[in-house]
Amino acid sequence: MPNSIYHDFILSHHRNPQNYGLALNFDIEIKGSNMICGDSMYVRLKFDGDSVMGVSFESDSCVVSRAAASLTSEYIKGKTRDEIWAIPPEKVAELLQILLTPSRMKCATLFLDTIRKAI
Amino acid sequence: MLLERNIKSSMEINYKKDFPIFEKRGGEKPFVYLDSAAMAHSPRAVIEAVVAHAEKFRSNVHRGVYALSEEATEAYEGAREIVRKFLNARSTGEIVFTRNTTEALNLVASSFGRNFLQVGNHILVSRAEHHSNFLPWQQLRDEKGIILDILDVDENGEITFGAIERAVTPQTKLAAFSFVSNVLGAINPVKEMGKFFRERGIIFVVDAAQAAPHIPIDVQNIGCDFLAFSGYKLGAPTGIGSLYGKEEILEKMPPFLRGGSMIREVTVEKAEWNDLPWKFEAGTQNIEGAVGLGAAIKYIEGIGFETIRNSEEILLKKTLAVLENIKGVRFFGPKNVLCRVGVVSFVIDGIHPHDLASILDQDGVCIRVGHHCAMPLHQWLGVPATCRASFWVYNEPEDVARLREGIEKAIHTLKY
Repeated sequence: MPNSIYHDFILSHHRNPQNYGLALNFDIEIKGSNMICGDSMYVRLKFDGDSVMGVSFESDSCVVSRAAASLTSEYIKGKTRDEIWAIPPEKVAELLQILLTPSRMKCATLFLDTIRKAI
Repeated sequence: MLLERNIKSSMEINYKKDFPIFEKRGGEKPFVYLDSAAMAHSPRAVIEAVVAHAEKFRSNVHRGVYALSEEATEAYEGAREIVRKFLNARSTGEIVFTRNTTEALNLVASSFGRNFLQVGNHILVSRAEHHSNFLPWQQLRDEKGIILDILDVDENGEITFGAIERAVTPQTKLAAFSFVSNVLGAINPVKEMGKFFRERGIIFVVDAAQAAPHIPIDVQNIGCDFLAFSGYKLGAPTGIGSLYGKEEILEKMPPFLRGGSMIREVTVEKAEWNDLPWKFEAGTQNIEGAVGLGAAIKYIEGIGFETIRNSEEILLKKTLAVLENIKGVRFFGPKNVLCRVGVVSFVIDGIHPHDLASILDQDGVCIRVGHHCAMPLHQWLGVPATCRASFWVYNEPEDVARLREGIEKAIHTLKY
C-alpha cells in the first residue's frame, strides 16, 4: 500500500466521485455526520426488493470521506441489506487501498455508517 | 518591541530541552507540536515531582496520623497554596481542586445555578464559548426555565462592551465568559467585564482554561465570583484542575458531590459539611495530580509570563504573516497579536481541515482540526471545522516554518 493517503487513485475519486449528486428517484434519504470534524453527508437509496438498485450522495467532507463514499457506493450496488450489514470496516480501507489511523477510519466509514442507520 | 523592552523571549533560552517528549519521540524530522491549546506537554520538573510523590509520599490525605500521611497532606495542601498564589485568591478556602475546567463549571452550574437562580432569570454567555462553558448553562435553561442569552463576537472575534450592554437585562443574574477563546485566541477584557457585572450585581464566571498557560490571572483584580482552569494545559498531569470561588459564595452553596472527606458529621438523619474548600472535594482526590499541578505552576513562574508572552508575540506575528501570504487561507480572531494568545484557527479554500492535518502529520507536525468543542461558534463562522495551531514555551520559529511547508504541500497535493 502507498505511504501517503493522498495517492492518485484516492484523489481521482475525490475529484470525480462516483454516484455524486442526489438522485431524484429514491426510496430513502439519510443524513450522516462525523462528530470529530462536523462533516455531513446525504445519501439517497433506491431499492429493488431487498437489494440496492440506485445510490447517490452529496457531502461536505474530506478527501478520505468522499473517496470512500465514491468507492463504497459502487460496491454496495446490487447488495441486499444483510450483505451491506456484513461489510467490515476493513473492506473500505481495502477499497481505498490505504492504511488508515482510527480517526481517519471514521472518515472512511462515514458513508457506510450513514446508510446503516436506515437499512 | 522586544528589543526596546530588553526582555528575553523563551526562544533565547532553550526551554524545549526541559520537555522529555521532544527527545524521546523519534521520527525522521524533529517532532513539531502545535496543539498545546488541547494539551500542553509536561516539563521534566512535573514528571519528576509526580514520580517522587508516588515513590516517597503516596498515602491518603487528611486521614492518617502517621508521618507519611501528614507529609502527603502537606504536599497536597502545599499545591493548593501554590494555586492560590497563582490566582491571587485571598485564601486557600477559595481554591477547590477539580478534575478540570469542565467539572469546575459544572460544579458552579449545579451547586450555585440550581440553588440560587430562578425561573425568568437570565444567564449571559458568548457564542464563542467552549461547550464546557455553554452546556451546563443550557442544561440550567432547560431544567429551571432560565433564559440563556447569547452574545455575538464582532468581526474580529472580539467581545465589545456595546454588545454586553445591549445583551444585559435587569433579569441577568449570571454571566459566563472565557478569558481567552480556545478557537479565536482573543483575550477578553475580563477586568472591565468584572467591574461592569459587579456594578449590576451579576455573578461573573470566568473560564480561564486557555488563559492560564499564557497570561497572569488575578482573581481579585478581575473581581470575578468564579474562575476555572485545567492543569493539563499548563503541563500538569491530566485529571487535575481548579475552581476559584469567592469564599462568601462558596459558603452558601451546597456540596456538588457527596461522599468521603467532605463532611464534618454524618448521622442517619442528616449530615454537616466540612469547611471550605473540602466541602467541594468529595472522595479521595487526585493527590499526585495536585502535586504535579503545583510543580507545573512553579515551572511556569520560573520562566515568567512576560517571557512566555514575548515568545508568543514572535510566533504569532510569524504565523499570521505566513497565513496572510498563502492564497486561499483565512484565519479567524484578532489581527493584532497583542489582543490574542498563541492560538490561531484558520481554513484553506478547497482543503478539508482533516486532510491538512493528515498531510502535516505525515511530516511530524501536529495540529488540531475540528470544531474544537465550540460548535455554536463554528456555525456562526460558517465553517464545519477549522485548523488550529497553538503554541507554548517549547515552540520555535522553525515550527512555524514547518507549518508553512505543510500547508504548501497540502495545497500542492490536493488542489485541483
